[in-house]
Amino acid sequence: MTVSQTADSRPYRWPWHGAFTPARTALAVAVDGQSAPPDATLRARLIELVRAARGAGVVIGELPDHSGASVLPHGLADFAVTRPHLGGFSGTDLDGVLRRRGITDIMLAGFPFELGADCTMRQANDLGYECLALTDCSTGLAADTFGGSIASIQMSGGIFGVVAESAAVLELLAAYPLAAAAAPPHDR
Amino acid sequence: MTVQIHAEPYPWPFDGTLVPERTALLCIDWQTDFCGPGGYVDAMGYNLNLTRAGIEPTRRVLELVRRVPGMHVVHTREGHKPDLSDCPPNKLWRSKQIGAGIGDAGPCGRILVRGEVGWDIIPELYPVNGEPIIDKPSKGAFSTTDIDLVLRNRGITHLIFTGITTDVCVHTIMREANDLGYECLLLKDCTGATDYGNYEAAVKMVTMQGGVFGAIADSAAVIKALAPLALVRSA
Repeated sequence: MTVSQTADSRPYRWPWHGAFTPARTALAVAVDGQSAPPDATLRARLIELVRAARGAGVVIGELPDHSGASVLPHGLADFAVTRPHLGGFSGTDLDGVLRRRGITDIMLAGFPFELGADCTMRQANDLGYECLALTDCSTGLAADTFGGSIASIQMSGGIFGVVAESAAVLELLAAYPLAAAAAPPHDR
Repeated sequence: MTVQIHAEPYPWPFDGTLVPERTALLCIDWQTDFCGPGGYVDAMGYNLNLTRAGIEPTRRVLELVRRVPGMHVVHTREGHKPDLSDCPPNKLWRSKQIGAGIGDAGPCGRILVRGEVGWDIIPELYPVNGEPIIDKPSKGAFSTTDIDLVLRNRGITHLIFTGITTDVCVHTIMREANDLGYECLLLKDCTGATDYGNYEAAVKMVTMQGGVFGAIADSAAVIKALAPLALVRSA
């Protein structure tokens, strides 16, 4: 079953190609130590989204730093790539990990967003990945820098991709009830 | 003699003294497409005064750096091959959506296409002989060009950033360079963004956590620190 649908996001409906496909989509969570951990409410929101995404066939990835800090319960991620630096593609095999799974579209959450998630989104965008920043499943180092990161993404028609809230992504995922059974098994 | 630049959140560079032979002034995307009438940013309807604000301070720093023996200048330039084969489909689509399609004809030639008038570096900051120009099809530079090799070949480990736009190409390249271990300094009056709030946030972000991407300073601080080096040669 092929469903063409997009999420309500800014500055354009995501993904750009109009054919959201769970199996070619990753949801990646970048954590930089304990510099800006989520509170209980935010963490619960993220986990709800991750469970829904994974159920639909989206590949879940964790991008911890050297501290190994994680915000997802054990076993909820399909892959983990430890970042020696800030950007997920710097000194890692992340590009290969994504390509081997056929991933072209990436949703990103970050704790804080301005560091690992933002660096990774910029790198992914330059490599042609289609990216979405999850605004309400991320934290900021400070309100103004977090706001700046989110605002910059939307310049020039979406210069690094788009931003969206988890409700919009949940609504999109709800249109894929059969995807979990139809999706090919992941290389877990 | 110790050469140190008054910077935030720490005196730059972190390792004590600026060594001209290991330091490059990086001039990022000073192209008509990003700061000139009829270019890409103008076509999108942004205020060019914001991206042009850093031209004069950058020119002053550039002219001084060119008089410091051993110090390097490296330029970057964003643009695509005429057949757009190096332009990611979503980037091409986005630019057309906003009415400034990459490759489309404009007052300064085809937008963001190599060889066109709008794509080239503005006369005020045009490279001179011996200054490498890195042509990139991307916001960043390290994953899509040979810039790392060019810098290494010259023994460059320290980078002083000028250019446009602050929150997009400048920040992306600074983040990449920082990940690779380059010691970075952003000159806050030698850069600009298409939105002033985004410029301010991007500058502040560099200084978080003790300088997570490096440090920030202004052109006056750099000129003050480098002027004695330039005078040595002219004496």
